[in-house]
Amino acid sequence: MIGRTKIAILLLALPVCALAREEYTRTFDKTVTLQPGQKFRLEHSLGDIEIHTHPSRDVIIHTDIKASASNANDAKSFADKIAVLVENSAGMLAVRTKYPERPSSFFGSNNISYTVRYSITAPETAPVEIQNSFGAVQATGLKAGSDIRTSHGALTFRNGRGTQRLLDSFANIEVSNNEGDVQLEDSNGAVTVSDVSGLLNLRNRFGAVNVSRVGRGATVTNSNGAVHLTDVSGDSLVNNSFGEVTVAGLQGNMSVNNSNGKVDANNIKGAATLNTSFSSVHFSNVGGAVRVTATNSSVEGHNAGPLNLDTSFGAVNVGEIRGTAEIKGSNGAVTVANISGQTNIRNSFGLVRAESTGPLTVHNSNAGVKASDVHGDAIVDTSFGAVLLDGVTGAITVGNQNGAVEVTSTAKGACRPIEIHTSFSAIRLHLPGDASYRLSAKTSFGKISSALPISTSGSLSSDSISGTIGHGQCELRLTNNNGDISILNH
Amino acid sequence: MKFECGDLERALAVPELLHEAREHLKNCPACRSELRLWNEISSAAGALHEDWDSPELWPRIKSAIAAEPKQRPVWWSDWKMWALAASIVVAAGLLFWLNWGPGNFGQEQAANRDFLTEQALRDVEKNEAAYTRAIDRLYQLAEPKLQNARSPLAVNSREKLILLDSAISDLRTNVQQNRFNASLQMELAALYREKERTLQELVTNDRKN
Repeated sequence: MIGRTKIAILLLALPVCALAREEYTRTFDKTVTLQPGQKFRLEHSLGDIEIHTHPSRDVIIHTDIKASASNANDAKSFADKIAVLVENSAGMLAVRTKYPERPSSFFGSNNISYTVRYSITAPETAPVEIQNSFGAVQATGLKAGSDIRTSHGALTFRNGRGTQRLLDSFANIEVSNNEGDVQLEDSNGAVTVSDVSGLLNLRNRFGAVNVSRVGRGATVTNSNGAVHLTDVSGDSLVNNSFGEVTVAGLQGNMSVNNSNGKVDANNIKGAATLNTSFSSVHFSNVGGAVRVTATNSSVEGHNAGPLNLDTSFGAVNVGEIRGTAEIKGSNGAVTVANISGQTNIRNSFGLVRAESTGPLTVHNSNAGVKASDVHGDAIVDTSFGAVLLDGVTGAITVGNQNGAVEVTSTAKGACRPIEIHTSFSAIRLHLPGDASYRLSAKTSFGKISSALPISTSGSLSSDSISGTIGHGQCELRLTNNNGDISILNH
Repeated sequence: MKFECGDLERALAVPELLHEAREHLKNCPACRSELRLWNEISSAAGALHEDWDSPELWPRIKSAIAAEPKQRPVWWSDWKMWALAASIVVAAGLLFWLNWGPGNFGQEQAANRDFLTEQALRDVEKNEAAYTRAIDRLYQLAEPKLQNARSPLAVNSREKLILLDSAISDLRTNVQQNRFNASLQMELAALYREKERTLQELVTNDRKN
């Protein structure tokens, strides 16, 4: 009976024993003095690497080698077979992890697992090369440039100097504080970069990019992830797709080429070139010229230098432009305000509104045009929509079809010719009491009336008048088909 | 108010205007003629009125409509697809949580940073198989969209999935040689999760579009 109980206990204990695992850890330590001109190289996989620096010429290598197996002997045996190879040649100190060959056997080494973790202290003036896979790399204080590559493990770089080349995939990269240039490439991971005094060249895919405080300009190429760029000196370029691009606080010129993602650019000291599609563009406080090329996008912006804008299927709303504005849109309303220079707008199927502009030219179709406070000449043509011009100081030319025209001229002094044509609707022209024009007005199926006295010459009829208003200083031509013409005093 | 011809139609609807209308009609032959036409139309319309042959006709039409076999609306098939996709996503999420969630793998890893125990590995491998099956089903839903990828977004998703599959395959080779390595298992889980998310986005965007 007792024997049977013992057997039962043994049988019950057997699976527990089978489930139990043993771990073995050993360390490898070595210190090698690096000769001047030598660089340090580490080639590794399946474990993390931590590297930091000190002023000495010594490279201090510390390694934790760990194995796990179903029994202690197997774990120890395997860990003992893992080698750390240190090769010191003329130009380089190379360290490499060598794992033992693994015969695939269900009951054998397949049951063993392992990992090796490095902690390196290197001379701060030594160039460093690290190649890792399936493990993270953390580098601090490298002051002579580095080339660090890993995959499936985060890459963290801090407090460096010199040119750094950092590559990763399927994991995040974080870089902070480097005196010098940084070249960085990642895929399927987020990238965060801050405080780089030199140039930044960054490529990523399928991950977000956050960049702040770069000294000599940044070039960022990304896809399928948002890009945020702040506080960059020097010229910058962002190429992206399927992710928003936000840039702010840039001291140089800025170019953004995006697609299927919105663009938001604020506080740019230089010029800004902003391109996207199927999403919106917003800009503000741009010191230099702004060029926007977009498709299927609305555009909104204010406080910028000369503007050149081309979009479609989206509204345009811009203001406070210092200099000229060249705007091309379609299938969306265009609204502009406070433009100091020549303003040229080409649009279709969308209302054009302009307020307080320099000389204005609008070519629209199938929608109206409303402009006020135009400092200079106004040339407007459209169809199937009304034209309302209020407070134009210069010459006025309006060509409309199937739409009313109402114009108020505030021209004073010099000759400011006016020419208005429309059809199937009325023309109403408001002139100051001291207006001085040579009038030629003609309509069909409509009446001509004037609140200002006209001195006529030649034939006079209700649908055709030639004569002078005031001293007859300037040309005034009003032509209508199927609509009235009214000259009013304001 | 000065009554004009244009007010006649309104006067016919507003009794208060009738007096003024009558006064206007006295001196307006055109409006009188128009009023005569209105009256003729009214009397003709009255003569055209006809009762239904059978008062039960409309109830019979109603019941016939009710008896018609109901055709499932077009959105029904989409709804089913949605439900299937949603159930797979939920199942996949649940499996992920069971496998690598905070109550399971996370605690295990916290207790032992580098290696899994036998029991933990067994749980991970069992749940991983179920999780990959759920992802495969999600993939089947997204497959038509991927095969005929024309939109830039679908092309991108396909490219990303190829990249992820390649990385998963590479990682699995390493995991097979190092099964108890907690870091590798976590990385593999992260890739599965990324693949699930990509497929989920693709299916969701497809339905939205």
